[in-house]
Amino acid sequence: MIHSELNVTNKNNKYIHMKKLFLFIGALLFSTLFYGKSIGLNLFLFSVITLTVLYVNNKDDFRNKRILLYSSLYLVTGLSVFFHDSLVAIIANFVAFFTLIGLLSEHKSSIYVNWLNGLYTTIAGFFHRNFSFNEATQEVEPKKEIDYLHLFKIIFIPSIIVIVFIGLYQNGNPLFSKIIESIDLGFINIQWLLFAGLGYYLFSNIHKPIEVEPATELDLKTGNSLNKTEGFSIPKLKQENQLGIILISMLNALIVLFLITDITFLITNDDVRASVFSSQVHSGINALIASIVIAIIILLYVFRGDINFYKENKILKRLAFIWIILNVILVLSIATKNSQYIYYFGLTYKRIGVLAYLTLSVVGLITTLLKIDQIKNIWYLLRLNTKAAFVVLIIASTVNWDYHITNYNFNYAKSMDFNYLIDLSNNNTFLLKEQAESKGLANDSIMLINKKYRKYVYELRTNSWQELQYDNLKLDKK
Amino acid sequence: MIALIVFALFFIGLMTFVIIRISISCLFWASKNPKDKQSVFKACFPYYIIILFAICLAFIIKFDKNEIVVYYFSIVYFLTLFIWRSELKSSPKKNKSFAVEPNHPKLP
Repeated sequence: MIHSELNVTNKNNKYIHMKKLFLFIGALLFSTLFYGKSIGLNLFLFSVITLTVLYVNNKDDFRNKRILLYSSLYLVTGLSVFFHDSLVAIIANFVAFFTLIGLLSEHKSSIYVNWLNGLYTTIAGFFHRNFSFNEATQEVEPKKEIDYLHLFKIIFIPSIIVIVFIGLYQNGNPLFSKIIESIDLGFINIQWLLFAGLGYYLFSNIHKPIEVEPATELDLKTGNSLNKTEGFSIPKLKQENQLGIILISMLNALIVLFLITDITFLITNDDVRASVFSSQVHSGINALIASIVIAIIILLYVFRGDINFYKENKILKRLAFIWIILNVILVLSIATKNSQYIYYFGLTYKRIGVLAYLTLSVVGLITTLLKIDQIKNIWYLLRLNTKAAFVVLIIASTVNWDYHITNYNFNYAKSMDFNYLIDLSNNNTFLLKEQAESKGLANDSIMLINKKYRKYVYELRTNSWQELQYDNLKLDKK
Repeated sequence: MIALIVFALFFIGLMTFVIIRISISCLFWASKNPKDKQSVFKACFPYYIIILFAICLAFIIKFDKNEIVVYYFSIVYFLTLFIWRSELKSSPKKNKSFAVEPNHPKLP
């Protein structure tokens, strides 16, 4: 009995030491990867290290399919940063990181609560664990004793002995001596060590994810379905139903009229003048986007409560469905205008942003339809739509936008703003160089391209291994 | 000159400490049950530390990752954790025993 208890204690101690060792190695790698370096291969390697630390400390959780999926998405965003060092990819990597950590803290919570939990764990996980209150024992959980002497022994004694032996072997073998002399540890300084301390703190925070209890509990308690309230009153609902039918009927009539005129305009004006089109798109799209948001808000207001359980709400529901479908057609008409604008004046981030926004609007409209049809609450909408936004962000992070913008504008657009392409990130530099060589561009343009190319090649050549990008490999092939 | 710098540093440190201390105390004063420090910790600490972290990060970015600014706000962050820690450690000890006190001790 005593033997088995001793074995368990020994195993626990071993596990704690192993864990500490992992965190320590993680911290050193963190500083090696990021101290004084720009983003590149290091973010992907950091993703791999984070996943290793999380896996070692939460093995059981990694049997969950959702966690495996989110881990893969996290790695994909890390790879995206390596392939094209874009801001979207970096943001997506951070969001995926917080989502994964949050998911590990609570598997069943909504994605926005995962973000909150992930952020909280990253910022103050270690502190929270040391001061969390155990409900069962009614006292603050005591901090586990750390055997600093042992920790000192396992780190410093082997290090000193290894250094002594290196000194001995160096004298015995000239080749070995040459290898040892080529190792440069000049990068380690006080700031590097402080940075490693930051890494250790970060890994200590995230290795066992925690949750913001009030928010997580509230989220777990809140279901997706809408319930009938105690103040259910048929006369009141009859009035609400009438108001809803009149309002949505009028809005339906208005949107039908608008769509007829809009589609007529799109069909009859094959070759639209630039000035007309520009004003159409800039003033029109913003207004239409706002109208879609207002449409969703109106529907949420009308179907906010007991009207969902009123037996004679079928006409209202049908009108709402028609309005949603008409709004989807409106989105398609905006998308067509935006596409025509892109065709005439080229692709830009703003125009891609409009398309992304329209995609999210369609998702919002469809989920509103589902909410009304299946009598769901507003939390259902929020949960689905935040998930959709997350998916759109991850997909967007995998695309090298600067390359595609440049490629489209050179090869397909009727006109383009050359200075805009020059101002884009370095992701389009090689393509610009190719275009300069194959197409007859103005001398000024070629000069600008060559200047950008030389600067970028210099940057790539001076990149350390931590800052490596996919373009480094391309450069080596050339 | 050195005395002036030391005084300035001391003053800045003191002001920082006072501001953080007051902001944390405000949370306890505003809570329904200020003596139940654990419930205040659970309810307020996560949001407090996330907001503080965001403010520190915003200043660091605003000042273009200037070394002094990075060190100052790192100190602010860890000082905040330290103050929360001392606040929680000072919480009154709860009765560890769950045994119910007899209402009628003199009954046979």
